[in-house]
Amino acid sequence: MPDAVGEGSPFVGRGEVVDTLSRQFDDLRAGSGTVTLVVGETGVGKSTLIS
Amino acid sequence: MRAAAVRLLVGRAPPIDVLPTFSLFQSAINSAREDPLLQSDTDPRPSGGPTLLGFIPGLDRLDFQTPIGLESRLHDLLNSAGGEGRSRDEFLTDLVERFLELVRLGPTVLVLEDLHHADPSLLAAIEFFVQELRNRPLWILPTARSPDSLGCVRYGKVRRGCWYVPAAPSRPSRLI
Repeated sequence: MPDAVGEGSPFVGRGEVVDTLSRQFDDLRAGSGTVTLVVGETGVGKSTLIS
Repeated sequence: MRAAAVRLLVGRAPPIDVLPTFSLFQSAINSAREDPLLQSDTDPRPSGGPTLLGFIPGLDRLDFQTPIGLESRLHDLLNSAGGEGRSRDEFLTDLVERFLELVRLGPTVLVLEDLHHADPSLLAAIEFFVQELRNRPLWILPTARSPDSLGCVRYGKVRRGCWYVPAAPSRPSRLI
């Protein structure tokens, strides 16, 4: 698992981001945590993405 | 998340320019108290009232020792930041231990909204947490306007256990 979305491949779409967050959620349930900074301008949908 | 027996704590910045130290953590701890679905049926505290602990569906196993009073101990610890006789690292170690005590009860997601408003002490604490989360079921999920808000993703030096993702519209987006 890479340490950052986009590491080695600088272009990502929202689908890949959601996939990454889903994997990290699975990792959490398996007992391993992390820090994930969700970045975006005001109103772009950061909270929606997390939801 | 609740269906998956995962605890969700959400820290939100109050609408003021300069946030008090650790106010996002304080807000997150309080968020459990505000959500009736996250409260226990019985409160071990003599004063009564909802409690942060013991609310995870399906995780009421007897081999989990309930850290009674953890909520207030977390608040006390956060309020003591900058007190005399304790180094920064000692404080951060205590803080991590308290949160990991909480996490012993089950997976926890800690959302911290608008990290760009957060105080330097809280940012330092998150950096400290990054080193401690491997094999610990705590997912810290801050939001911010820029990756520069968090040192572990600043300068493009992404450390193990520290990620960032763009909340971009549904089209390809460039990172860094």
